[in-house]
Amino acid sequence: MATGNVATKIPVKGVPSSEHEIITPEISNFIASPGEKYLRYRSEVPRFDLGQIPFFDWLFHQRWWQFVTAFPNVVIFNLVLVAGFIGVTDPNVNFATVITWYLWFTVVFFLMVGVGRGWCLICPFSAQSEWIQRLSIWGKNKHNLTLNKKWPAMYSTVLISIIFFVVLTFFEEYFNIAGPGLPFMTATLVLGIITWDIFYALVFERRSFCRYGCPLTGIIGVVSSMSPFDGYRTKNPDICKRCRTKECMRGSDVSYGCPWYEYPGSMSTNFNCGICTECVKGCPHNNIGLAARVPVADTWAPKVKKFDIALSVTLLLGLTWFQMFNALPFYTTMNNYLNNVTGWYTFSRNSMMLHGLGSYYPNPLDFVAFVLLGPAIMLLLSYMGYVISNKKYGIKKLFTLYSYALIPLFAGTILARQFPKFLTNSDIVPKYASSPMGFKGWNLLGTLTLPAMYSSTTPVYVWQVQVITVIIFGILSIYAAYKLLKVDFDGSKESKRVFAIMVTSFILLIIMNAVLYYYMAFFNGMSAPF
Amino acid sequence: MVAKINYERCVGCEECVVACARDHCIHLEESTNIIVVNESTCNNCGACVKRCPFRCIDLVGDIGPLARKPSMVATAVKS
Repeated sequence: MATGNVATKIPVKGVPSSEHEIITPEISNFIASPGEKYLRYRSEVPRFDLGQIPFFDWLFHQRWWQFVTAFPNVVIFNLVLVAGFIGVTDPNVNFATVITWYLWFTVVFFLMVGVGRGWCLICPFSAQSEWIQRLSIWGKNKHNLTLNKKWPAMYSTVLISIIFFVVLTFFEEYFNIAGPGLPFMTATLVLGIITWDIFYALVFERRSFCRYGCPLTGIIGVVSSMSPFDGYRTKNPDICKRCRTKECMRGSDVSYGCPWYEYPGSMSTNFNCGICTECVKGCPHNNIGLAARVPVADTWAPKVKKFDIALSVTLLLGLTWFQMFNALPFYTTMNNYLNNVTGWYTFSRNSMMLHGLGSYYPNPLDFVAFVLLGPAIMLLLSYMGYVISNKKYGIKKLFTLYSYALIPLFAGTILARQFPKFLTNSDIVPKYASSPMGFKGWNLLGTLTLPAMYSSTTPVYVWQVQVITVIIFGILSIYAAYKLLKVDFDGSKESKRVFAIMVTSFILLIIMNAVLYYYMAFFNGMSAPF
Repeated sequence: MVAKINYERCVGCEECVVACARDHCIHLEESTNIIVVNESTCNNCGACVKRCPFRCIDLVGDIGPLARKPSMVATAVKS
């Protein structure tokens, strides 16, 4: 018995049509574009397998590979903890804040665009929790220190991560953690994430934290679709089809089963590939490789496009708009007005600010409104597409598919937002690495005398770089929309009408974002604000 | 009772199809790479649950109310 209002029959070979199963609306939540393009990714995207180069093939098979990549970050972020808690309070001298906000947060975005889940490979938080869970630093251990609980099915969605990221951003703004503010706030944030990660590792199986709990996993997965790398995937799907042992998922004597719950044999997106190489080590057929491919391909190529990912893209775009609008003068006026009307001013003053923490910014109301602006605009565009296509394409389908096309624009916009701190002050990181706590007289690496100086004023070229970045990534969004039109629609005139609406709107959004970056600098003496 | 798939987690590896002893009870829908379960032929033996490498199949009792929950999990049933 069908449980929904609309159902679609699924033909099954060898089964009479009267016994065909139906696909309920609950399933269709997950599938925006059911169709015949099962293998289109492989045929349409040129790829080059790095595994063909003997050095990489050898490297990816080494168990110590992931340890070597993550260990430097483990050292750095444990130093961040120490410096943050016992170092000086000046955030522009303390290593904890200097490296975290002037370098790390931008590097993470570069890694997303350049490598996909490159950060997940070298993440010090999950590395430490995984060492504890596996009771091993890089070897294969038969016994794990975990309750091995299954992650609840109803919370198996990327939206959990996006909500964590949005909430964390609110508190980051409220406490001015990334300003940067007081170093101990940064250290507290890092300690919180490490503790949270270890808790997940001890309770749940595999990397449940990385897949569902990490506040960054959603945004990294989304932006990873820009990456020119595939993630680890099968070289020949037929071999995987015939393989009955599936070491890539189950693990073997020399490898763990995929910590990210991925199956290289059918993977069509790198959204959940943590590029940890466990599948490469486990595959008895040496049938898994890491391929370089056309950048941006995962915005249009995945055979299943998910609504929760699409919604995440729009929410993140809304969050990015908040981070841009809050640097404009009118935002302060609006925020103050809302603070008075909603009582947030009184609440903040009488609670956190009594203890020297927090601020009057942002008001939760305008923060949430900006975040919801992304989905609202996409919903409006989808509705327009629905009407103009004479109701041929559903609102949900249009919302899902074209939100995927928005990924490059979102990626470019949020990447550009990180430039002011990075391009102005990242050069002071080596300097203060010599005196992590900011104590006078320390010069551990001999770099304290480097001429690099902190500046609160960004060079004029920064806003120009921001605008150019938005335009280039915006054009990639239009390209992604064009590819979607080719692979997910039937070429009808209705689909072209919808495409015209979407692309026109994308162009307007690109112009809006570019102009916003210009005005942010304009109201700050042509110096892009932090 | 019927096997219920966590579609967010299901990777379409077909291990459950191999495990299932009944014809046309569980199969991979190749166009979407998702597993579909036929409620009327599923005898809730649990073979697919045991075989699934990522533990993304559960045996659940009453499919109706569960399907109506605001969950990210979906289930296919026979008409």
